[in-house]
Amino acid sequence: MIQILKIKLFTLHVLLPLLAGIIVYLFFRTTPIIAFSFLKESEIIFKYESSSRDFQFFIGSFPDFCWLYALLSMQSEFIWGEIKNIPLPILFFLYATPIFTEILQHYNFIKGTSDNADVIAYLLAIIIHYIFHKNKTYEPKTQVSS
Amino acid sequence: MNLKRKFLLSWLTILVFGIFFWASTPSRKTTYVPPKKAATDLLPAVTPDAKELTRITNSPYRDFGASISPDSKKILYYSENPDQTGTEGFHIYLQTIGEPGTSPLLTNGCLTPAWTSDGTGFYFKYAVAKTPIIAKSKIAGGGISYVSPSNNGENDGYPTFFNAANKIIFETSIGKSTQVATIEPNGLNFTILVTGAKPHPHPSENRFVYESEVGANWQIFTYDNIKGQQTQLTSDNYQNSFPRYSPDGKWIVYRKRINENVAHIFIMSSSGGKVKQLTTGNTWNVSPEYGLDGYIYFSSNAGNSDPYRRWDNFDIWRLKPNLSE
Repeated sequence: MIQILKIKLFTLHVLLPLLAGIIVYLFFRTTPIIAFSFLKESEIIFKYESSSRDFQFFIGSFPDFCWLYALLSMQSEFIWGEIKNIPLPILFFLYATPIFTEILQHYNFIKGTSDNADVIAYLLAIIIHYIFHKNKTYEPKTQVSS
Repeated sequence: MNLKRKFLLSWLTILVFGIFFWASTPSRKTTYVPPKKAATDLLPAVTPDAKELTRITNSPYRDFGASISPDSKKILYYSENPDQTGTEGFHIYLQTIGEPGTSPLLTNGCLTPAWTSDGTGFYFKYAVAKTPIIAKSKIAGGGISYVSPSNNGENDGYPTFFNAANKIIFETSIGKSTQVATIEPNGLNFTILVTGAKPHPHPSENRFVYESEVGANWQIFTYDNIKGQQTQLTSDNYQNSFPRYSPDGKWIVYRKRINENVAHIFIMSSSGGKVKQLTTGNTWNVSPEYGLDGYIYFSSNAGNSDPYRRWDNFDIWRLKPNLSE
């Protein structure tokens, strides 16, 4: 019974967001033209207004949201049993790294374009995951004899 | 599962997801979907109102923002390097017109150069920091000096020396709107003049031409800097941008976006009449500049060799307008 529940939850909280992120990334992303959206000059010069711009958050940040949510779910539910069991260094790494990466991108220390929408997506993933999973546990309960 | 295996699995999962994030980084930020067109669609062409269409630069980068020296012998422009991300990809080059070879002047985050009136240096947008700044450099000796100690608005750009007002005129962002503004040559007295972008001063009179949003379209305006009066010159349903006065101030050259893939260079009298289309075909032509030599220099994707236009390779071209009646 626990095994079936685990498979269901794994599908819902890990597999589904993972696939959703991949699908958006593969089928809705735009062709990789580096730095096209970075400066206003390029946007004004080209005015090739793309309909995809309307879905910029969806295309750019939704996969990030999904993948971080899937990663957190994988860690909390299927590796460590529940959030509070995750060792502090790993928990800190999971929460801080995505946001820290955006900061490094902002200052051009690493490749990529910093995006506030990404930070929001990461924070949403962390908050939503915490709300959904703070009281959940999938580890078998230990019988305590009185 | 023992603790050691949990740690191992935990870090392994993080590594796998990390690869996901890393792999998606370079491309998922882009918002531009390039149109798929055949290379043969991009033949350079001019209308009967223009002649002598010639390619001036031929680099693997996107060459924009031609600025012709006061003696019409040299051209400044900026290039966008596709291999670099962010502002790092913008570099300013100098080329002697009619001679092969080009010299890099400033690298990383330098764009929209405009000659000083004495031809010894140029103003440009310096966009290394998050908030760009107007800067100045010398042709001989190089170097970068800030015109004003810090940015004036949120996105200072397109600086040009305004002879009649003895000021530097430029565009900047204030909140969500773009404004035309001036500063003294020493960088002081930041003054907002009018809502608009890409100002270009009249060569002798105290007025300038600029673009401003009217409804859904950009239109060309002039601004009388003495009376504080603006006059709309274009009013069609196209994006009219990048206005530039001719050296005698009698003509205004600009870019009209025909559709999402095609934009052409037009010219009109300084009062808005006698409109003539200069380029034709399926090319994207942009940022014209009228040189003292009588040629109009502009950026074009004409002759693009990539059949799928994943990277439109823009070069500087020039043509001579036929301004006879």
